[in-house]
Amino acid sequence: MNRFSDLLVSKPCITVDITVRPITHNGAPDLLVEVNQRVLFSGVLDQPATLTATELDLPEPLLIKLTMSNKNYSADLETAVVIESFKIDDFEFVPDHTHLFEYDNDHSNTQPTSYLGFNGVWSLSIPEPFYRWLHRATGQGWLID
Amino acid sequence: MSFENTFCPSPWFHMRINNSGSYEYCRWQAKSGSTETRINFDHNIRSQSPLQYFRQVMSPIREAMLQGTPPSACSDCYVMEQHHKTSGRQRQLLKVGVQTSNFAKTMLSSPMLPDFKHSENSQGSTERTVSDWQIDLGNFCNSACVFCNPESSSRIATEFKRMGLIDQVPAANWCEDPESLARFVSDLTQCQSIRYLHFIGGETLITPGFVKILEAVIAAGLAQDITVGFTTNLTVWDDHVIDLLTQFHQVNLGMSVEALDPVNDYVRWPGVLSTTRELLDRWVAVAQAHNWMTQLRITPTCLTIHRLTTVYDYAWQHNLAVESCNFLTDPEFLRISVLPQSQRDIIRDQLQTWIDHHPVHSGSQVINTRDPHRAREQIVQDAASYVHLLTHVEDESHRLPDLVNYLKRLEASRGNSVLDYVPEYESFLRSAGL
Repeated sequence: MNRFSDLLVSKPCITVDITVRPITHNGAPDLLVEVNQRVLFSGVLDQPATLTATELDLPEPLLIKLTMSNKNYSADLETAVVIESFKIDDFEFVPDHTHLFEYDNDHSNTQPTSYLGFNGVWSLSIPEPFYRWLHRATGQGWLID
Repeated sequence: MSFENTFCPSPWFHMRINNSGSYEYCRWQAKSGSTETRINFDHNIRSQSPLQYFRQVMSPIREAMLQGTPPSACSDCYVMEQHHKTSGRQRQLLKVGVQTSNFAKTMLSSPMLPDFKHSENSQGSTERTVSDWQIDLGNFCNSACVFCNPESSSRIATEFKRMGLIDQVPAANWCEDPESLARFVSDLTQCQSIRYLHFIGGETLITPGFVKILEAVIAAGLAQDITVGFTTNLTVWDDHVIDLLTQFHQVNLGMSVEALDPVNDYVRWPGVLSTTRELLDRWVAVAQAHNWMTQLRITPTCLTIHRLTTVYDYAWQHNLAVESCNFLTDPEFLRISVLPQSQRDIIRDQLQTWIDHHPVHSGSQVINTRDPHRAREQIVQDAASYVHLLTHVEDESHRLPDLVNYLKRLEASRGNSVLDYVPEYESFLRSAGL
């Protein structure tokens, strides 16, 4: 790359990698994983899985949702989804940045977590280009615009 | 060098007014020669508005940046990066969200991308105004540091004239001219996009223009959105200035010190170490009370590099960043590379030992050098840059006679002796004619 115009013709993309592990003592959880309405997984999660979304346009907003449903609550036996790893372009969000996710669930538990123990949606909404958002979200200092 | 290794966004949001009232495109830009004056009568507060300079005169600089052919005056930043020292370019890139470690993706995500595209299509012009100002208030100073010059210190100007080193002292500072100051303040306060005002002197705290500009910005109702940065030489205290500073959004305080050792008095003449230390402690306390960002500002030379760890020790203890603007190049005879190889090796090993005894979490390069959460990482990073410089710099010990000649003339004026402060240098200084 020798000049600015060379940069503009490049079309870099970003990648989302999510590794999930089920807890199945009371049955395996139902899980839906979506990245910008692209479904990466839908069904019963009965074993660990790594889900990947590639070729996502760099400047576009991102909405990533993990929805767990049909859990039967039991005092003794657990069903859950554990987010082992959540990366966007190799930037790891678990465990240090889980406060950036919204957790909307049927127990109104909003504590930052990567353990989905309730029926509900764990989501990350990035309304601007990922790296611009990351700059703000991780406190990199001013952003002159 | 490739585009990602040369591009700097600074000309899209920053400019400088220097001590003479002349405009410059960057606070880090290098002078092309040691005798070059920084006076430019065409591009000066007395003849042109800052906005006109920024939008029109700086267009070719922006265009050159986009073409991958930056001006030669940008060279200091590239040298700093070569020695793994955080450069001005890297800092300015970060302010628009761009990181050199992931250049293409962060650049294409930058909120300033549309401005770069606009300039690409219009010969470097921009619709932006200045957000980040470097304001050099003039040379009014009560110190006469050995590495300083008449354009930056009125005291050294007077001394040099007495010694016959210059024929006349520099012209009056631009901000002593009420008309120039009024014009500048008027332009400044009409600009709604200002985020940062960085002041240097001379000594800021004794320069009337400093208070006048702060008061004008406060009166214009802009202070709550603006960060003020300034550097003081740790010789004076001013409660009124502190009161004014507390009205700003944030303050970046820089405190100049070369060593917490008597050699500081020789280099930052006529400093008194006990006073320096007392004021350092007081400023640090005030900064902590107001959550200001604090840095120790160093200008390492061949006379002080061997005592640099005393500054690092203080900074480590108080969780402060330590930073120099660049590697000193002028005057040439005070460069670290002027030390004989054997002495450089001793100092390099001493710095490396200090680093080895101060382990830090080794993450990515610290670009936001004011981040208090990474102050210790930043100190070690700074020390490592000097280890790298001492290891790889080209030997310039042939300049030792120039150093000795200069010090002898200064000492004849000041009645002191470098050997009282750096006795370990006696052998090679004597060999060079001391």
